[in-house]
Amino acid sequence: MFGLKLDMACEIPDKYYSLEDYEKAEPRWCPGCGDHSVLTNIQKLCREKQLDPAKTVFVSGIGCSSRFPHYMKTYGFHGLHGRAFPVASGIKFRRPDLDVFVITGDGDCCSIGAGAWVHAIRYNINMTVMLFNNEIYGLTKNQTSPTSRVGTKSNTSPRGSILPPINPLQTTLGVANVSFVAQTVDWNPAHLYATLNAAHEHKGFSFVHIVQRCPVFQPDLVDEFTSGKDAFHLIKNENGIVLDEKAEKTFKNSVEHDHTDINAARHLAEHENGKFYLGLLYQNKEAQCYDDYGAHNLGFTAEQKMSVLNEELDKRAI
Amino acid sequence: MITKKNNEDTLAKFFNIDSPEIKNFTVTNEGIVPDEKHTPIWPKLVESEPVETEEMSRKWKEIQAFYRGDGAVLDGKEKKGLTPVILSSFQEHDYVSKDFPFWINGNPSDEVASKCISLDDVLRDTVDRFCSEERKAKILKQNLVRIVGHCSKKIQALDESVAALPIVMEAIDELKSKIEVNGDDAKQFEEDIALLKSNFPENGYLIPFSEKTIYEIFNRILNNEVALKSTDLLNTTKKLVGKLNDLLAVEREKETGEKLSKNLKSSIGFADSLINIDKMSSVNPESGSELMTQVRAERIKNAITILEKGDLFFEKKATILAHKELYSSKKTNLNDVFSTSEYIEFTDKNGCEEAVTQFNTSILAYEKFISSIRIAQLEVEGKYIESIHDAYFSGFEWRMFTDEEMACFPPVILITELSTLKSDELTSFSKLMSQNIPIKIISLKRDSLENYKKNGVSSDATHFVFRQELAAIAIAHRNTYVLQSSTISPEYLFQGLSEGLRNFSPALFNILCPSNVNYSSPYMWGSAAVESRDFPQFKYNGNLSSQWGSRFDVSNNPQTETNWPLHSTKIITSEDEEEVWELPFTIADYTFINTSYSAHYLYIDSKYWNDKLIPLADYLSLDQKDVPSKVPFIWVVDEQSELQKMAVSISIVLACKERLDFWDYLQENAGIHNYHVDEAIERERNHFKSVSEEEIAKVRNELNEEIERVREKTTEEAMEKLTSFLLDMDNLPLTSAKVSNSEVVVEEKEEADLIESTLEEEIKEEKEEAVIEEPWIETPSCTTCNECTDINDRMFSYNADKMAYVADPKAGTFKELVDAAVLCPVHIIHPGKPLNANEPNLEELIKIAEEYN
Repeated sequence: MFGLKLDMACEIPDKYYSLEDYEKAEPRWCPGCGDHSVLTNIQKLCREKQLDPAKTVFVSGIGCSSRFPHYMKTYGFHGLHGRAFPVASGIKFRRPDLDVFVITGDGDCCSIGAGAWVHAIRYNINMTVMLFNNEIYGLTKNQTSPTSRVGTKSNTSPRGSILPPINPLQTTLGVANVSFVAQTVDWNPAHLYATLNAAHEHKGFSFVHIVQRCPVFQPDLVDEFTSGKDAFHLIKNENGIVLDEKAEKTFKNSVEHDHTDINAARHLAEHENGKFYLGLLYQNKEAQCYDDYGAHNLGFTAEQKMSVLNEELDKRAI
Repeated sequence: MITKKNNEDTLAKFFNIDSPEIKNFTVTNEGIVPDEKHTPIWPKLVESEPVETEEMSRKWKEIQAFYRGDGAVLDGKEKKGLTPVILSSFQEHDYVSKDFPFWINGNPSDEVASKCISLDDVLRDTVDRFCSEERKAKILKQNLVRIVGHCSKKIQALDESVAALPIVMEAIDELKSKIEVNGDDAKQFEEDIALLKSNFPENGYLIPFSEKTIYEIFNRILNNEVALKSTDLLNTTKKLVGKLNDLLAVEREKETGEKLSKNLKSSIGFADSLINIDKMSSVNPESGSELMTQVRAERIKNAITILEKGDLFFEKKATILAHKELYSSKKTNLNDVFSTSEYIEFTDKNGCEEAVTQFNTSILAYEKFISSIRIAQLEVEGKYIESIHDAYFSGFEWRMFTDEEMACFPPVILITELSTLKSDELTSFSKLMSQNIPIKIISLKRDSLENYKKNGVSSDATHFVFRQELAAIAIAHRNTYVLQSSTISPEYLFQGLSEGLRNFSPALFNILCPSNVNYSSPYMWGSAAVESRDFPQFKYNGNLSSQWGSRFDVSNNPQTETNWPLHSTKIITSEDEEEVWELPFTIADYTFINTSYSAHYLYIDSKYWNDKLIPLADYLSLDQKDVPSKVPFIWVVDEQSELQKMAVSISIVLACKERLDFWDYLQENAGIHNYHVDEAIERERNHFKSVSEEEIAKVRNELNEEIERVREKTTEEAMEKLTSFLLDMDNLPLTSAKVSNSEVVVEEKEEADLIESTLEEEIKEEKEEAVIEEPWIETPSCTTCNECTDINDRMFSYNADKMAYVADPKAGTFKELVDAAVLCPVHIIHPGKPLNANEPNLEELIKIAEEYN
């Protein structure tokens, strides 16, 4: 209309959240660990989106990366080993107004938590999931993980591991109702941020595979990558994860990919000839979200909720 | 409330198949509730089963009767609560932003172009001025809207223009106190706030949106423009008076006698004791030069007397004539608004005549003033020739003024109602325009539509008349300046008014002033009036050039190329799918918001919808033969956000046609869809088409002939070569071709090698140049791993984005720099060269550092 424009920015909250509003405690990860980078970028994402810390939850299992909720000044749940997904699903299902993030490692997700992982993908509840994959058990001091490459020497396989590793991307892409799969690395902040941002924007279970090294037990992993930049290919698609020109230049190679094509995504996920494809591999915006079918219990006071809970518990009282 | 006791009921609360997608929530005392405000509700199309043929035909007769104006047949559902689809999204005022309050520069010496913009733009411009790659002022930019909001509330309550600076400073302080920011961001934010405060322009006024807006703007223009011009003129006058006085002083010097020796004494000064002044004066010639005539001296003295009183002309910025009843709400006297001008109220409906009388009176003294300036200029230059100039100045009048001289004259302004001008004063208005007297008339339009029959359905088209377009009448006088604008677009209005004031011709400013006296949301009404082409905005400047097209400007209208502005609107269909419709905003949508016209609309229940009901815009473009069987409608939404159809009466259809006709008149004059141009283009296009077709055919023929000729020739040659090849193997041309090919390959390779080596050298040189002595970090690639900050947190530090940079290279040793470079997992630390030459093991460290530089 002439002289008028709809402007939703007219209503803005009174509090501006800065980086410090999301920071808590000095991270106790080893110097040089990529977890620091993910933490910083998540804090930046929260600031950019001005997420209310009181309405944001970080849920983790067990492992180095799972210490993540301790370093965020938001709500957090440092859960049981392998059980980050059920806890996060419960939170989101009952409180759809919260922003839910899940932090899990290669041991937590791909080993003990594999069952929960598969079903969380299928339920497709709206949450942002980060799998920190450094291909080793670091917290317990150097044991082979399900994603360790063949030949990885550790305390549990001193002569090198024998079994081929699980490919978390392929596993996720193989589950019914998968809706968002992306891959990034911890040492490229621009790409990491853009990927986390896209995952947060997506409605559904957004799975981000973060390729890492462990500076103590897998120090060569990242050196191999940085010195062998030929291995990394940027996935380009104007509707996918878009980097600015400067950030794009940090990649030597790139590939065009249609992220709605699951077979093409599986092909890229295979890391054929040692190539890693970074960016959005697969997205299906139409996938069913289980949390859409919850009544959410919204509009009920804390007392009412407690009374329902007590009622339920009373029924099972001995 | 949960009251049921059994298992199923309590647990059933946890699931709900029909629960919609919920995006936003608000925490209230009642708990957490979905925030409907943030979820746009798109209009939904709900269709029902059509009724039986018999009932349909009965209803259709009623609808047609309504359309013809045989009487309204209101059907169950009242019109209450219905809104045109396009307007429905603008109902929530909290989410609608506009150009108010706007800011006018109070410093007359600045350029006119930058004098009037919205406060939002002033703030953004100010912030942009101190922003850079390093200083992005992100938080401040995100919150500028709060400053505007605060000022807007404050100023709207005051209902008058005020100095901008104190209010803006207060709003900035309010923002600072209200918003909580911590850490590095807080420091940055405070600095940005301080910069905004120190950079915000000092002289300026904020104008709120009200029915007084037009007066406030006009008053500011008078104060700025006339003040600027008159200051220049007065400076010139002062210089001239000085020079004229010099002339008279010289004249006095020419006198002889005692006075001369006295003068001589004073001119020599302290040396007078050394000289016998009386003796000296006796040897001087008795008179230096001829004395000026008595007439000339009188003329100069007269001019000085008039010029010295020049200030008096500019004590008042203008003469304002306004009708007593003009300011309807009577909260403020216009006398207060125009305090720097001479304000005259009149009661009779003879404004134009009154203005002419007033002009003739005040121009007389100004004519003398200007003629005195001209006389003074001629006298100073010694070019006044009595035989020519005496006659010229005796007949001197304002029509002989230059544009600049006229621009300095405190203008005579008539402020009156549009309706008064059109009814009682049309003849005197036309006379004024044709006499070419530079009087500026502001005509105010404050009510809705004109000419359409109100309160009842018109039975035929006799009520419909073509509107008297006062602006078009003014244009018919040709040497005029005409502005038709609305107070909802202050920038355009400001420019138009300033331009009109500067123009040496009569001007009509036809202004739409929506006021809250007549409408609950005047801004929306004003916007709809321009959007629907009811009140198109335009400028006409008869002085611009002799070519008519150049005099018109209609650019400040929405979608100038189309008949009606089109809006993309999202709709939910009856199959629950989203669709985007392109809907026009027509006169029918505009009149719909005015309840006086309710009888011209008929609600049609969806069970009566059929093919004969067609959208109004389509109806207007129908062939005459198809019209009788159809009835037009517009889309509206009800309180449940469901789409409904409202049939419109023939009166509104005719009103649409009448408005489109005027819009076509403006479009064609401004060069949009001009009939003659379109015709000429079509003619030329056809001409070029036929010419190019001929050309193509000709070229094709020639080509075919050429192909045929070459084919014959080649066959001949091939046969010849084949024969000679078979007869004489030595004549084979292929061998030489082979040799030459290989030569080319060798040459290309050499060239490529050369390029490559040059490139390598260049890269090498670049690399050598790139080694910088100072240590540095590729900050955008930092992964915040703490390796470097753990080594020395004074040397390495994090920026506001928690990415490392070299804070102080002198805060540690070169060894620490090199260690950090080695440990950095992403190899982005470049240690440079050592700063302290006495550091131990330097040679070894430099060697390691080279790898990372």
